[in-house]
This record gives sequence, C-alpha cells and structure tokens, in this order.
Amino acid sequence: MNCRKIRRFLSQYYRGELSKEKEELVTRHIQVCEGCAKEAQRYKALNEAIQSLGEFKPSPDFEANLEQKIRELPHLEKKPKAKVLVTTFPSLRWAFIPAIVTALALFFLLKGGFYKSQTELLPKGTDLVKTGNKLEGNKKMILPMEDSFAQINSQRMVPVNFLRERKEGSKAVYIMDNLRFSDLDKLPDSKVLERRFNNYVIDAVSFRSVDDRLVKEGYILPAVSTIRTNEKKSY
Amino acid sequence: MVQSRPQGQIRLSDKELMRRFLRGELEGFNLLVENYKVKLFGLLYRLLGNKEEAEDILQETFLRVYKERESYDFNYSFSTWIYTIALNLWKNEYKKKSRVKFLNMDTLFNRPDLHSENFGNKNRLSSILERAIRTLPYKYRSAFILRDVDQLSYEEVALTLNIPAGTVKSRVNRARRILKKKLRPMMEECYELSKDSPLSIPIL
Repeated sequence: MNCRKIRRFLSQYYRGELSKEKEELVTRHIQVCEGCAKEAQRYKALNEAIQSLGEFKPSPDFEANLEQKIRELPHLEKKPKAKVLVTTFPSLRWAFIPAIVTALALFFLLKGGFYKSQTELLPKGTDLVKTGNKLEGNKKMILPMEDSFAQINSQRMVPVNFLRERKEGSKAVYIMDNLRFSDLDKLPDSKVLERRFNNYVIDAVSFRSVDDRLVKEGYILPAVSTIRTNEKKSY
Repeated sequence: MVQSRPQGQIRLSDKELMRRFLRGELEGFNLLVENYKVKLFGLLYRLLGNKEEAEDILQETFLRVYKERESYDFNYSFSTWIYTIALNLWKNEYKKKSRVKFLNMDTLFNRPDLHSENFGNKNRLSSILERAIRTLPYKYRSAFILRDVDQLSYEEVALTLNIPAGTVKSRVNRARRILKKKLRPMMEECYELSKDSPLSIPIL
C-alpha cells in the first residue's frame, strides 16, 4: 500500500477509529517508512495534546443565577384538573355545567366581554406611566413569553428598553425581547417591529402613534398579535 | 434548588433523570445541570472565546430544557438533545454577531480572553492546542470539539449538527489536519526529543 493511502488513515490511527485490518496496515507501514512514521508521530502528539486539554468551569454562582431565572419564568406547572373534584364528588358531576355557564354569563355581563375587559384594564390614553408602574420596577420580566402574552396584549405598554436593535442592511429593526439595552436616543420616529416567537407574530409598532411624553418616559405601545402562524395584524 | 449530588448516590442515566424531572422531581433537573454544565460550557467557551457569553448561552440552554421538557423525545439520547439546544442558541448568537461585526472590530481583534489567559491547562502543548482550536473555522471547530474533546460518537455528532455522518467524519479529519499543521513546530520538538536518545547528545 502506498504512502498516500496510509496518510489518509493516520488521523484516525491514534484515535482508535480504524478497523483492525487498516490499523495493522498502518502499523506495518510506519515501521518501514520514515516519512509516514514522522507524520504519524505528529498525529500522536496531537492526540496527546487533545487528551491533556483541561476543563472549563462556569462561574461558582452559575447555579444560583439559573435558579433565579427559573423562578422568574412564567408559571408553567400544570394546574390540578377539575377532574379531581368531579371524581371526589361524583354527585356534583352535572352541577358543574350550569355552574360554569352561570359564571361565564356573569363574567361577560359584568365585564362586557373578555376582550373589552382587557382594554378596560388599561384603556388607550390612560396615564400610562402610572399603569405601567408594574412593569417599570421589573426589568427582568421576560417578554414576550407565551404565558405573558395576555398581559402584554395590544393595549398594554412596555418599557422601551425591551427593544433590541438589529441592522438589516441599512435599516434598523427593533425587536422586542427580554433585553435591557437600546436607549431612547436611538428610537426612530416610526419603525416596524417584527419578531416571530413561538409561532406568534409581533409586528407594526408605530412610534408616532405614541404620545411623545410616553416615549420620553420610556414606554412604547407594542402591537402584539396573539394569532398563531405568519399572519400579521396591523394596529 | 440546584445542589450537588449527595455522596454515594448511584449515577442515574440521563433519561432516568429526565423521567424524574418530568414527574416533577426537580432533583432530576439539578443532576442534569450538574452532569452537563462543564461539558457544555467548554464547548460554548471554545466556540465563543468569551466566558460571559458562554455562560449566558449555557443558562439559556438549561432554561430551554426546563421550559421545553415536555418536548423531549425519549427515542433520542438526552445528550444529543441538549447539545442541539446549546448549538442552536450559539448559532443564533453567532448570526447576530456576524450581522453587526463591523461595529466591533476592535473587540474582534483584541479579544482579551484569547491572549491573556492560561486556559487553566496542565501544560504548554494543551494551551497551544487550545489557541489553535479557536482559529479553526466554526464548522470544523464544532465537529472537532464534539467528537474529539467531548467524545461523542460520529452518529451523535451527526444528529447534533444535523448533517450526515460522512460529513462529520470529513470535517473532523479536516480539523485534525489543520491542527496538526498548526502545532507542527511544537510537535517537531517533541518528536526530535523522543527520537534522539540521551546518548546521542554530544557530551563535552
């Protein structure tokens, strides 16, 4: 067998990746061919260097930080199902339906529908600095997670510093994310935000539509579509 | 919450730990973190060349595992799954970085981490290799680290990187060839030393 063929096997030779036959061929060859033996020696040294590579360890507070982040996650645990109640009190099985219907009816009557209730919670044009207080002190809140979508629905305000700037050619696109940078000076007059996240689409945030005062205060109006797929909605 | 493993406990398989975690035993998750944090940190650090960034991605990797535990498919190995998550996060980070590369040429050229560090290694050869690894193109580097440093099988690397096993082999071999070339001056020294017996050194 010639040297060219042997050399193709050399990188695998010391890693134990060759078949028995090939390994033997190489062993025999490098005993008689000095050039290949030299080359083999280099791979051997590389192999030894690989084996001597050290470990890198994350910082000692890694676990504590991770634990903190997990605590900040929107609550993902499954809630106990109503089924438990039903099995505990079988006689109540049929009482649940009218109970739920009544509860729903009451809810809609009092609140005037689910969507409206959301808008009433934070109506457009309210003093958003006040209503946004909840977010203000909570910079680590992760947006937009699936679970927090309801909270940041169209009429909610979020701090500007949840935006991330991204260059796309010459134009800057702002992405809403759980990031802390992007300062107010960089805000353009009107830009489109686009971010796909877990199949949700967030798009079209017009900064012009927001009161200047609010932008100065560090809040913007995010337009969040809770519609799955690529469908876009303008606000 | 995240604690080290109690002494004397039998090492459970990753899948078993995952099963426990899915049953709501957080200990399973904590042990998986314990088992994978060093390996994954090494991979990410070698790819990114920056400890803070590597740690951020490592955090995000475990967070994904936590959040998306239900989507884990027990037909595949846990290591493949977690490596894939980490590498996908790294890829996104890398894409983001490459898009704004022109903004931070300075940091690209004088990465403090790359030069000032001793890499925490035992000898000079390994720290030279460590530096050489970081000059490898990313596609060779990721394949090389997974195969030769973390010792995944070619099939596992293929699954993790989502490329055919043949491609993995050729990338790993290419990486080894490049590294061998880069380490050559150093290795020549080793070779000469081992070849010459002490007797052949002229004695005055």
